Amino acid sequence: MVPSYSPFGEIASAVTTWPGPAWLSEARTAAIGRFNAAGLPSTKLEAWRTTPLPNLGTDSFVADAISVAGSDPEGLVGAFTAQDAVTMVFVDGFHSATLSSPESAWPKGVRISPVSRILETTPDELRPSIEGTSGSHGTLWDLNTAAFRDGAFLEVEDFSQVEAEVRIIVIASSTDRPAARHLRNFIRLGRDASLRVLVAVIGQSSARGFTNQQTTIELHDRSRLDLVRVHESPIGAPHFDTATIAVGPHAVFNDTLLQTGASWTRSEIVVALKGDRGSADLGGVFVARGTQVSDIHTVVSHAAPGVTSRQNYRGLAADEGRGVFHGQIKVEADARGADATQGNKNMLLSKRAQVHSTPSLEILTDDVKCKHGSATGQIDPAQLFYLRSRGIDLQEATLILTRAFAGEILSRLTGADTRSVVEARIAPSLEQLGVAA
Amino acid sequence: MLRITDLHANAGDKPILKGLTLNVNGGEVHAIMGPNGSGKSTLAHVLAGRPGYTVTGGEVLYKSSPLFDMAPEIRAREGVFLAYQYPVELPGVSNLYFLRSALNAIRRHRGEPDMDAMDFLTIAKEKAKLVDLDEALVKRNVNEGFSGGEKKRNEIFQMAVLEPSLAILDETDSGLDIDALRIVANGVNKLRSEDRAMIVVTHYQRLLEYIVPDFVHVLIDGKIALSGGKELALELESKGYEWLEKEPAKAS
Repeated sequence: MVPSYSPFGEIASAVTTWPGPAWLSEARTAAIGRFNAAGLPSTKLEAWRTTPLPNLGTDSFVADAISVAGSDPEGLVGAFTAQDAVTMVFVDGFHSATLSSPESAWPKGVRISPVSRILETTPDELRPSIEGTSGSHGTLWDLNTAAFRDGAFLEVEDFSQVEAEVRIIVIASSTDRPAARHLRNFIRLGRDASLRVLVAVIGQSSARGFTNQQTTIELHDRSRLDLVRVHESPIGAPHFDTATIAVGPHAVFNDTLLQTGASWTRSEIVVALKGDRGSADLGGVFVARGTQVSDIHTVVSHAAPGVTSRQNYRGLAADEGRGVFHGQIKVEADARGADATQGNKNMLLSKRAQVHSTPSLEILTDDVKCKHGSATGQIDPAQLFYLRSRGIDLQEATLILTRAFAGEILSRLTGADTRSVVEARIAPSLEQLGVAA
Repeated sequence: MLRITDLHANAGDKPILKGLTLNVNGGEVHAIMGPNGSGKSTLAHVLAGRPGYTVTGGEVLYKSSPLFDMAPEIRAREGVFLAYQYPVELPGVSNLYFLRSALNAIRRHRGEPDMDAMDFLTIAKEKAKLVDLDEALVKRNVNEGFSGGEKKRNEIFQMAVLEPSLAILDETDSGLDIDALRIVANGVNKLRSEDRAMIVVTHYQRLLEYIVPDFVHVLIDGKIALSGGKELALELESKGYEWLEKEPAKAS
């Protein structure tokens, strides 16, 4: 008789064998208990109504160091190396010291460490973050809490302006068997500190398994984080991503997200503007072609006086691609003078492409400025003909117009090198966009 | 250059052109005048290949080849240029990038190598002077935030760069004040040449004081009702179109 297989049981017993303090084992056990009770998210949940979870390609949820034989992670990392950037590379859920910049190259003013090392040395400093977010972000977060073994830990000292960009490269590499890649990142900026971070989720084209990356970000008084994220995990390796950001007084959170191709990608961004005059400027673009699914969920809570948020998301869907934008604005009663805008524009390039766009507002005070707009349409035939009537063929005209459409989001990237790296990532997806006749 | 014979065409389902015949030779400037709804803009759009129009009869030969066998971009590469009545805005697409892409598409069609950005910039700056187009506008996104006059100048600037064999100017005078009209017309006049033909579509005689045509044709109900020299435009200015709408067509 075939023994009944329980991934939840497997992970629950694995957790007890991992090193760590008692509070962490308890947090992991509690998380797996919640995950076990709730199961994977189903479309019965409002937040998952339009995005059914794909086949994860694996029964095992235990993160496990896997041989990377046969793959070429060096080649993948090469595209992201730059003179004034330091890289931190994770392969199949674990930090790779050999692929990362040497510690001697790490900039001053910021403590950079793989989370695996923090777990061995000073795990208690992760405790407030892990316990503080437990049970409030859904079952994939719980799964991550139970199963993460590594990730990026970045802590910027008070008053430190870090010049070098930190690039976190998350690689899906395992092709011989499906891997469960759970990463937990911790980013903390002290008061008056600033940092630029690029996170790229990439992979071998034939990688298997899934990636579940969760990030907690804390921005203290007057600090500023500029985050750029490229989510392009490969076909056959879905990617779920949640970032929770606590923005303190006068602090600035700037995030640009590019979903440039994966079988299935979902990025949740949960921002809490908790301090007076804190602000968040969020933007992103997805390109969904073939049968890809791209999903962006934002929740921006305005919970202090004078806070400001901007959201500008764009989507391109071709072939049978499907895009989802769900943007929630919450304004608490004490967020007097809050100012929130949200815009979402989508372009459909075929009859079978779909985009679901859902703005949602929850406003508990009158003293607020709030604006939102959503528009989904096809490529403008007048623009297309204008280009063709000047000699440019249909394919190139389409590329020019889709590039321009995505370009509004790319123009958020002010660092020349960051921009060229990101443009190089998005270019192939745009070039492969087809237009149904 | 262009030989239109008994052209019939619909805009949507509605017959607009009903047997139009016109010959245009290299070096000639033909003005097409006529009342609103007579088919002037339809003619311009059908020649450029704009979707939404159906040719239901007749023949158009351009440089001895059937024009309607060519996709719009092929017509453009073969030298057909439409200056739009309502130029389209292209947010996020720079004028320079747009025009260089167009020029290189034409050059490739002719078997010539692509022009690089530096060489192109030199040419673009020089051509922009023809219509007094500010260098800042040359570099801005195509027509985005341009005034009506700037958009029309931008059309003629594009024409100067692309050097078409057959330029069709659709109501280029509409919405222009007299100064802007003079600038645009001067630009067009500088582009007149022995091997370039122009069809100037206009409702008013005003433009033809500046771009003096070799021939004037009056389009009434989808057909040419009357053809003549430049003095016909003046006659139309004083008499209007109404008298022609009642008379049978006569040959030029």
